[in-house]
Amino acid sequence: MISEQQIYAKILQYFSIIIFTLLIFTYAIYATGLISPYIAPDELTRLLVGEDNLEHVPPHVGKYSELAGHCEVLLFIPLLLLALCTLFCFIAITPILIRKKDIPYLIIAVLEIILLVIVSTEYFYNML
Amino acid sequence: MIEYTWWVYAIALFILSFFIGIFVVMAGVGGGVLFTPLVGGFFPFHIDFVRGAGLFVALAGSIAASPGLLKRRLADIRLAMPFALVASIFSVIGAFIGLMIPGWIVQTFLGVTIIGLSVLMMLSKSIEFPKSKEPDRLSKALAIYGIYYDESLKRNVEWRVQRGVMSLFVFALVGIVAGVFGLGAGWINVPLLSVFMGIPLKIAAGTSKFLISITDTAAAWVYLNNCLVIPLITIPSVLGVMLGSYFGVFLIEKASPRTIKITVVIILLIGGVRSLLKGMGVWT
Repeated sequence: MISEQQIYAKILQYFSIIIFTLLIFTYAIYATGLISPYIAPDELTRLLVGEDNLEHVPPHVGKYSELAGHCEVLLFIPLLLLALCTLFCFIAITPILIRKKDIPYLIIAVLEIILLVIVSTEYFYNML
Repeated sequence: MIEYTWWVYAIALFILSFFIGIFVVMAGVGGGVLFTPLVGGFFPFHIDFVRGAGLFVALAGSIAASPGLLKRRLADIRLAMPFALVASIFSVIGAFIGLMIPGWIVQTFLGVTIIGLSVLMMLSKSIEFPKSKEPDRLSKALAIYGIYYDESLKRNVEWRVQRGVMSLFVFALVGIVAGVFGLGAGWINVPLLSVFMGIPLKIAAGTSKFLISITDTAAAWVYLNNCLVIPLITIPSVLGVMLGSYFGVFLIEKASPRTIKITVVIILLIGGVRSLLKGMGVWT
């Protein structure tokens, strides 16, 4: 029987490859300017540089929801997947732990899932 | 201050993160401990954005390395899960505490602790392969033990967990520290797993790397919620560290435990000195 460790590793590997590919693909679109960005890279770099310039950086440059229709939205897809993949891995091993009747580890997995759902909810709530 | 065009920064971040990726897999740390002080010190970006990118660097490096480590049994999911849960919960609590305590006090204390731990690891003779003692009640109940084939020694190495219950409390503290500073705390995980819990250093480094992928996820959402993740600087760094981590996994299998020990000690010293200087206001 396939173990939770093998399943976790397999899913994480799929995510890792997908995220890596998406990071290259979306950043290439951003770098080449195929889809117009909300703020041009050189302008954004100028805004990001230096301690005194923090207040000059529009707060929404890091916010997915404010950037709809611009290239920056694409860049957030692989980053959000990075933050979500641990949650998916824990969901995937739960049926194995149920089948094995491994109650202590099932409880640990469920608690971790609940925690990750709670911390990610605020971001998706703000997106709406 | 000289300002370069954006792609110069992107390429420089990619190259730096690639080497960080190789190095940190062998040490079992996330990368934030090296990325944040190096990029914060040598690049002109505001430290808040560097911390946001640093957290994603740690997360990405860990996610890239973990499948290989889990498949080779150099990381153990049964060992990681209970401690990752405790550290995750307390890292969220730590994030709230971090807003209340003066940062320099905790930072100075942390620097001293980390330097102390690295000296302890340097002087310890048996941490590469601690003697396999009787497992404690928690590790017996949760069946946390294992065996792995050490390619550098060409033999199987058996490992068990000691001080499991006490380690849960220590990981709660680690979680709080991680939450306060927004770091994965891999630099604390490795000595904790090896020196305190008696796990062979190679498994400690592998499992620590895997642990970071779980504990950093909660913190990553906090940074996303606060709009501190800027793709322009985060993505080249994440790509570099992921590529570096793929190479690092092959190196950790072939590396001798002594090489890993030296790597861990060097990284701990860099992180500890950096933390101490930051706390004392010498290098902020």
